[in-house]
Amino acid sequence: MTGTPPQDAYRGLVLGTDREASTPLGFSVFVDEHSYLQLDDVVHVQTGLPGVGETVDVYGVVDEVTARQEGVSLTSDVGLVQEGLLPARNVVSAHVSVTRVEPEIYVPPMPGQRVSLAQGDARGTALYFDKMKERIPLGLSRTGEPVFGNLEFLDGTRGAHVNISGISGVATKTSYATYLLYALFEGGALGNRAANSKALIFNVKGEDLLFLDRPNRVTADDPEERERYAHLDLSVGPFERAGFFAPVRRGGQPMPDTGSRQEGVVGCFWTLREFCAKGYIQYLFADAESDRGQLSFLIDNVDGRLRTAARLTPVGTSNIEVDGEPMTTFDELLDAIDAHVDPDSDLVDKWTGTGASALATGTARAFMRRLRAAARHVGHLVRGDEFDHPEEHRVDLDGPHQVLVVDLHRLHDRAQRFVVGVLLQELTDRREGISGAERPAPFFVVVDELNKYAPREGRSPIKEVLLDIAERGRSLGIILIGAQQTASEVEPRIVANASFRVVGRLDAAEAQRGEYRFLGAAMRDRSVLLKPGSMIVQQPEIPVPLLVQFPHPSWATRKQEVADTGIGAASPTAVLSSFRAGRNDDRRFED
Amino acid sequence: MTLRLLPWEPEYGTNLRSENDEVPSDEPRPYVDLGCEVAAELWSPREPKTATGRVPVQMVDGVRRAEAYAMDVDDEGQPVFGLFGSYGVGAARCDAKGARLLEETFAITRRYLHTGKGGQDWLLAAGRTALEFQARPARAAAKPGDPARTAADLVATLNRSMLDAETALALTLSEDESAITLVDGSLRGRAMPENLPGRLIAGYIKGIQEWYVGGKQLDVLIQLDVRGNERSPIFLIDHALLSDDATREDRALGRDARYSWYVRLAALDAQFHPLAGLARLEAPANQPFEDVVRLADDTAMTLPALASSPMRDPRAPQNLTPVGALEQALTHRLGDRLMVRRLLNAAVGRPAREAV
Repeated sequence: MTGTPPQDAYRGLVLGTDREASTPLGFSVFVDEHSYLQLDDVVHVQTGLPGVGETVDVYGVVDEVTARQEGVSLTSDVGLVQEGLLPARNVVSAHVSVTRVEPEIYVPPMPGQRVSLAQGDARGTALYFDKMKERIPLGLSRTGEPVFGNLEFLDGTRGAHVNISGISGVATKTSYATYLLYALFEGGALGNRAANSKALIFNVKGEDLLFLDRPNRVTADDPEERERYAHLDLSVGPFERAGFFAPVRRGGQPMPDTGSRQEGVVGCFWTLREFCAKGYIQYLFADAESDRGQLSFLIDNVDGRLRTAARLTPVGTSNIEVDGEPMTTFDELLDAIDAHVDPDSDLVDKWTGTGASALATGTARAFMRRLRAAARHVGHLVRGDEFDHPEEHRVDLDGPHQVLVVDLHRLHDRAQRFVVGVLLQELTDRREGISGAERPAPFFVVVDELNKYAPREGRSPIKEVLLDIAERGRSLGIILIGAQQTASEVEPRIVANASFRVVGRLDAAEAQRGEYRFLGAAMRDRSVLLKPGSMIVQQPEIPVPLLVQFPHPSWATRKQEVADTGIGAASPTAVLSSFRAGRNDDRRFED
Repeated sequence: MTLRLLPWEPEYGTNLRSENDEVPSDEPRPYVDLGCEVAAELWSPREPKTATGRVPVQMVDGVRRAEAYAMDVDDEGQPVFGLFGSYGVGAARCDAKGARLLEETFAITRRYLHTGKGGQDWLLAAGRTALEFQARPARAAAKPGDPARTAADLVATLNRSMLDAETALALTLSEDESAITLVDGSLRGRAMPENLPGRLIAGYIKGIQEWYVGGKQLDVLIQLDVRGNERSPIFLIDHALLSDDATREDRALGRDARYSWYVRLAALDAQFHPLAGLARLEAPANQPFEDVVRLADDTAMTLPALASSPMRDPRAPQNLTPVGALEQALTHRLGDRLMVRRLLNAAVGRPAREAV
């Protein structure tokens, strides 16, 4: 269907030995000694159908290349060959995993048939690019050609979600997630939905994501990188409409709690009223163990009481009234809760009842202990009336920003869980309304450390939200781009629901887990060798995982890279060459 | 001497087989002249004086295989024995550029040999190729002029065809006078042209049938040291040295005069008999003696490096490493034995079935 391959694309002949027999789904090639095949090369064979006169085009990807000496039988023979005493011949064979058969007549390519490198249209056919109505560039192959992904499996039309695995610091998970967003928003694949598409990113480590809106001068000054962007059909530039948010510091000013960047960062908090009305108290118990009988019963109970309190509180205030008493700080609210659940208090029967349904003292104490422990780290994020214009101090999911970066890196783990849980819930609540709309503009959520928020074992409120997104996100238009070091430690349903499975450098033991079976044996072995900037991507339409390399970020990932500063910057050439060498010592990529 | 082992694996026989006498006799053969290079009583190990290092070697070898015996009836109603046989001939070369099989010299021939007259060629279609067994009347082994009668005659004819092909290939290859060209086995009975000045052709005999030399000289052979690339003095084998009657008969068998010498290929371990590490070489006698000396020195310099190790070859050290690889490649080219056998079954059986 892509015509006869040109003469210069010839690479070898289909093999038919017992050991390397040809099958409809995989075959080996005797590689011509005047050419070579390498891993990831895309090849094409035309095989005839006897008696029909029809030709079947078989396409595939090289997943193994083997060099052998023919005519030797002993280990030491290689020495004899080198000494010129034993005649032997070096032969190379390559194994090909079939990706596509057109028309769909599954016959093995016949031994002796010519194998060619698939180029141009043939390559596109082999990798199903021709079937992709809308596509995004996932990166470049090692030979510099673009590798595409089918947008329909990413935006919720036919599938959704991305899951990225890899070792922290080497696998460049966050960098790749950010690259994908850039390709989605700047690449034009989303068409007229691009304007309304959004992304929410949690910055959990360093400040790498806080300069997304600034061009990266290292990349911009490098012709090679610019060329890579050109091959991907992407412009070189920053994210155009990025907004930055960080929870407020403790104290009397709503100042964002960030490091080197303050300017343009919105300090955000939640009001006491919101906290009570929306049941955010459950996210203070966001560790997986909280689902334990009595305790979770008590949390639900208190949650219900607080919602009632919020309903009874007059509008126009950020405070909350409990039993008619106004609470203006989180600590006051805690005391009020304490008074209502403490079995020794005379208020206790109001909330938790008496008699048979009375609370065990131990449970009440455990509840308060956990609540107060969480409050130590989270309390300053929930405020009463002390600041004006609370609506200006929130992560505005409906605002003008396309990419919303929420900086959590200075927060305690408990506070991180709280913010992530609260924002994910806010997002799902908001998107419920658009359910049923024709192809809603997608809202991407990048969540790293999925193993923390949705661990394999146990239940937690955040895990519930994430599972909800994983399973219903397609209809809500919420696309989860999740990442973790080890997919084996993440709730399997979340991983299984991801249409795109991406793997960066894996730990050798982790790579042998069942979660990575989709890689196949050869790719699994390679996953432990991947350098920063190289990822293996599996997508639904292409039966084999593909290796892609994505370009150096064209947005700044640190202050020194910001195009208009130039203070204390490392030599751009040095930074870039260490990137190319795949080294990670300058924390080029953030996981 | 105490008991010593012989190194070949038993199914290949021994390299010290003796047809005429079970143990070497003390006296040299009457048709042997030991004094060509040095007098018989002065025999001692000789280091190669005219050679300075290894020279390029070309090794010609052949493999043959009886595919199937057959029985037929000729036009006169007489029973006819037949043999479907294949043989392949080719060469390997070792020189400064390395060792390689000279695949361009590989030739596979298939014959239907029979004891009758005429006979029908058999063409066996095998995928995209065809195996053509050309019919040839076989010759008696004892008297090549007579038609064959026995199954042994058929095999002998096949063997002779292969030897002829080897000889022809060796003659072609020996046009390269910078290289020694070795043929497998004795030159006896090989159809060599009268005069080949400058050609470095030698017969390489790995299984020694007959020692030719006397007991004193055998002691010299035992002393040959591979570290010095030592060889024996050259001697002449010429049946014309015998009485007139014997000469005529031997001439009729094609026993032409030839020079010969022994080369030590390998220093074997103590459990092996020291004579077991030797090979005998032959060169046609119709050439200047100094050329033979040069050839003998070249072989002594070159061959020990090519001797095979017992790990690789059941006929080590005599079956030279490149020759082992060549035999393997040629056998491979003969095709799969079962496959050929099956094609024959199908080809022979089909007309019969159609006739029914």
